Amino acid sequence: MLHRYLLPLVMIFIVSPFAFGQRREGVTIQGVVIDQEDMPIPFCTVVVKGLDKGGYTKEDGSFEIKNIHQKEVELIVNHIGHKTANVSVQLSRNNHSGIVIQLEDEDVKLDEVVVYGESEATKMEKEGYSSTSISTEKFEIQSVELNAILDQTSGINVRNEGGLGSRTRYSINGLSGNSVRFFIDGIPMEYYGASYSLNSIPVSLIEEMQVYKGVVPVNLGADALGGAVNIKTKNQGQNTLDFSYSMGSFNTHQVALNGNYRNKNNGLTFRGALFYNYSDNNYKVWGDDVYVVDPNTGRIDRSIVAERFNDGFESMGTKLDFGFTDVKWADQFMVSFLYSDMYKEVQHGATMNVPFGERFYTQGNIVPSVHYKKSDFLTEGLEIDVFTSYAMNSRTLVDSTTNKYNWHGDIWAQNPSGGEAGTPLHSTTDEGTLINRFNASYSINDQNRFNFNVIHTDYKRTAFNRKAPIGQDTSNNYTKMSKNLMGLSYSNSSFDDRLRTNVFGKVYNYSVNMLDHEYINGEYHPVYHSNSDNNYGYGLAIGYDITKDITLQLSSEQAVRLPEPDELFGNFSENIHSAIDLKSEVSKNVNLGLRFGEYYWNEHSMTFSTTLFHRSVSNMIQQSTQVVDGVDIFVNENFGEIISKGIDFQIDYDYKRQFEITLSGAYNDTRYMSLYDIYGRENMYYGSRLKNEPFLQFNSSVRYRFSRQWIKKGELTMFWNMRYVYDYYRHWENIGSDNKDIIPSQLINDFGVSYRLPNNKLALSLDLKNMFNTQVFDNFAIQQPGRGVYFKVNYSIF
Amino acid sequence: MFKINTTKKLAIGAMAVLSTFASCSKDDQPYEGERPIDKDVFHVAADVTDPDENVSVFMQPTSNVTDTTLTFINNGYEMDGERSARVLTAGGRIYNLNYGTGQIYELEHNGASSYNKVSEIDISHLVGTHPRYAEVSDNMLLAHNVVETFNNENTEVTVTLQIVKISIPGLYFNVATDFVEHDLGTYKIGDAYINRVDAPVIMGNKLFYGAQYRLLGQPNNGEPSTERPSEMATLVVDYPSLDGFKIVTSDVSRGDTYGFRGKSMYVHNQHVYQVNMTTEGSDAVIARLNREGEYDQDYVFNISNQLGKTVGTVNWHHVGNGKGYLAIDDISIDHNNSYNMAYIDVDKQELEILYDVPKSNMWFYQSGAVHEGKFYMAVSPIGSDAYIWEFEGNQAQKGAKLDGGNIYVQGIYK
Repeated sequence: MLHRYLLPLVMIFIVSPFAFGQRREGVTIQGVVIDQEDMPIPFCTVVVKGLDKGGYTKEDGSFEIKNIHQKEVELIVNHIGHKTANVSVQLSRNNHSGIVIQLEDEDVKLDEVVVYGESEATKMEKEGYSSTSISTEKFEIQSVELNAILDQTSGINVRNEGGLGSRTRYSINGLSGNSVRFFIDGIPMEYYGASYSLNSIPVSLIEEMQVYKGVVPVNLGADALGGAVNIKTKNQGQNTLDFSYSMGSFNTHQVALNGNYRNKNNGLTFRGALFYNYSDNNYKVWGDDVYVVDPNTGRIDRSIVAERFNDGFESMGTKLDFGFTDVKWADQFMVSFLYSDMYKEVQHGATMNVPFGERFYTQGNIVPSVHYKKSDFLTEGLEIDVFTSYAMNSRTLVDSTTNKYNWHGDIWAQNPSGGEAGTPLHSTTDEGTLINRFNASYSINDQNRFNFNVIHTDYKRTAFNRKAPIGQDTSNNYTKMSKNLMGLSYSNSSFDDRLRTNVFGKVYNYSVNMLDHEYINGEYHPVYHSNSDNNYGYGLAIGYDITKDITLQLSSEQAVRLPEPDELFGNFSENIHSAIDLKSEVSKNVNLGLRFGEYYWNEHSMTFSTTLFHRSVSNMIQQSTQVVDGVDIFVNENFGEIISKGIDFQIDYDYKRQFEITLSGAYNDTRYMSLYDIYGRENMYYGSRLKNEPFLQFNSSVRYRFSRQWIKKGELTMFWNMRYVYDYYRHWENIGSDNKDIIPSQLINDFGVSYRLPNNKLALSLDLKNMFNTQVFDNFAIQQPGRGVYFKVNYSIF
Repeated sequence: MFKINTTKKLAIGAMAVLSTFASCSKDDQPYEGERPIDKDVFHVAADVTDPDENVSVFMQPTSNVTDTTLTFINNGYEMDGERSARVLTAGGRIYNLNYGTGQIYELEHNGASSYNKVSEIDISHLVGTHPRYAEVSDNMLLAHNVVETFNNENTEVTVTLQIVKISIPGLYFNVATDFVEHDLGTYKIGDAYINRVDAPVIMGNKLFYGAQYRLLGQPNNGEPSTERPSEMATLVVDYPSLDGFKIVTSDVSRGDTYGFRGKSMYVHNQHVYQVNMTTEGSDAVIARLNREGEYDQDYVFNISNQLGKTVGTVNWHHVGNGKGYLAIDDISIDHNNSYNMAYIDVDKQELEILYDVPKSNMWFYQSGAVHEGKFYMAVSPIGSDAYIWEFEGNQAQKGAKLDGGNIYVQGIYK
């Protein structure tokens, strides 16, 4: 196993020969905004024109914008009560910060400033990919979850199975499930488990979410067909300590505390975050799927309104980082420790028809890690980033009762065999994953750069069910999977940075070892399985500025999704037979994007961006059933073909940085394109829209920030979000005409108001979710929460 | 000559069956539907299987099953079902068991191309969420379930039979009078026991259930037994009281007798005629039981012997007068189109394979319908077009064209 630990080191030497020439690093712009009396102005917006970068000034008027690659940028500085300032900034190498921007009450003051920037990790996220960066900053003081923010992004659909903490299904441009991968700071999120996921992590710990639709850059090592989302946690330089507490409907409480300390003299840095979430999720549900039965006559009363009674959620966690930042030998050297835990009750199965009263699961993880990052490593222009961690996580599912519950929450019958979902279970799954990530980038000169990334994971899973009958004891079984995902990209900028080209290749490599047992004549006999495979992917991303304000983006990739161990080797207890010849799923995707803006006229500004996409997925892994002696046997096969095409768009309008409107929409035409089914029969739903997949949605949000003068230097903001999803069928759209299962169109309105006190220490917000108490369905026959009121306090201790 | 004679006999038989049903129907039952019951409409049901193995069931009414095309593409009524929908007709109404929730819905044909739900019940507290059910007359449905409770070592099993009688139309029952639970006994390794029943018929004062019959073996990967007893079995229950029961067996062959999803037993000439679901190369036989609820040891219609080779059977379709149609699996063929249709006469113990009918997969096939002396069922060979076939004696001809492919018409109901 030693070679796995040595791997990052080996990579360093492999990459070293590229270390020559000059570099072009992203720079950080730092500065301060002051008023005419030279007093700092906090909470000004400072954005880089034409880029989706920027933020607010801090209390001391300071701001920081990272990862600027341009030689010249224009900063737009805005604050209510002051005139907007457009500041042109010349960027040169090896310099650092020091911009002073003075805002005037009446006139716009233009400064020509030379910025002294410092080196930053280089990334190529703006090089023509179909991508969106979502800054969480403006949501931070609201009672809002990451899933809800993600759901507002064009082309992404988030479907919840219930309230806070419920299982979630994501799709990007019509592809869902294993097609979409998630990362936290570039590390695959699946190894952390549900307790440290988008369901649990508070918004205040997050800096931004990067969404890649279709083509995924090499620095996220993923076997994703449909796209990837990378969650970037906060990594600020200042000393801070922030606290937030949100409480609201359905007995929901969410607490977060996060702080950062850095000793300016020796670079010693400590960061810490704590979070706690709780909700009863006891919202009301009604309709055809919610009923009680008269046990004597079997008559069904579907007129009741029920309160969910077994849907509670609790999660907590902490992440502690110790180390050094911005010291001679490291930009960052951190030793981290993550712990999180959760408890979730399960109210029902695939639909609300049969309520459960006792089923629940727990999940927890402990993840120690080390992260080292350094630019100009050994040689100028070479930047390395090494991350190693071991993620231990454990999940327990308990479903052993013989009680049958109805929607009044009463026990109305007994099920002698036990298990509300059909089979009695008290099972524990333990997983341990060694995760190594190594990233190196090397800039030959201003125009040319290489990036190499490898993610190596070693995963082991064991599982056992305390309720398993004799012969199904799995406590000595294990599944091991070792994955290597490697990528190399080359990026070039030419024609004065008007054309940005990025070509890349990826290698996907895995090996699986599995131990299973067959129980024959009173004895367990070991059955070993193993398999390995290599796959390749490649692609390119091109961004071209037709004019200063119009950018054309083209990206294309052949991507691969590796089979999961269960798909390869089956599962005795679920009658899934092994299929070791299974191949990886392959997707070819193309994206063409066009971006206009940012256009300015007077104090208005507007941006419009749109992407056309085409995805073709083949070798999709599907399960077929064979009946052997009256028993259903499942076998996985490479079979399905899907073609998805569509369009998404986003329009942002802004007036004086005071009034903002965002409108986004997405349409995908995702169809099942297999000519025959898995049994060799002609596929009668060939060309039919993919079942149970939303295909048309719109989001809009409006924000209005009242003048600070009007409210005595405090800041009052009102916002209103609207989300619309068009109806879609649970089964194939072209089969049948009457009484078809449908997930109805939904229109959800959220409204909120937040107020930041003049001292900038305290901010309060009031959120009204699902304002009109509409009956909302994300899944067939599973109702979402109705109207909820949430109150949140944010306090900056220092 | 033969054709005419058979047709006449069939017609008479069919009329006899119909008039028996008609005489059974009672007019004093509450009626919840809006429309008069129309027994001349066929209902065609299709299983649509998704790649992830969910089955949704669609149904459409038609009065023409011979010279038309029937499609479920943008046509047909989706039957409510959590995991699947189990369909049957009785007394001109359609019934749907929502498999996975234990609810039964009563539907009526709306006179056009769709259906209205007229009543519903939930019996999951009596027979679980995955029971089986069947019509035994125009006035009665039976829903039934067998619960197996194993000891910790899986070396003993206690078996409980649950039956609920539901009167139709209207779906009425009362737990106190219409539900029984019988302890079928506790069995040890090596004992044979019944762990599933279905395909009930009533003859005289007895209710006959076809049975899944298994031998409890050493636990093997948690499956208590994969062994088959050397006999086939029937569960006989007193009717209408449902009070007493007995298990009777026959050693003429082996295999289950509950017909999988179709019917395996019919009453004819004071006997119940029963076909077995062959297993491990056992003989395909039709056996019969008498009014006392015992196997008639003097009667066996051995289909395998008649054909001179090993074949498979699942269920059969009686059209009257001891005559009917049987799907015969040529188990020497290793692909999906392995079932031939055969015309059988259980009195004369005669069998004739109808070679005009293409081979297909009949394992999942559930129901055919008799109309004016003719029998109608769907035949869906993989790789070629699917049709409803019209059977009359030993003659068969193509009727209405179906979608084919993976829209599998599993039954014609009437």
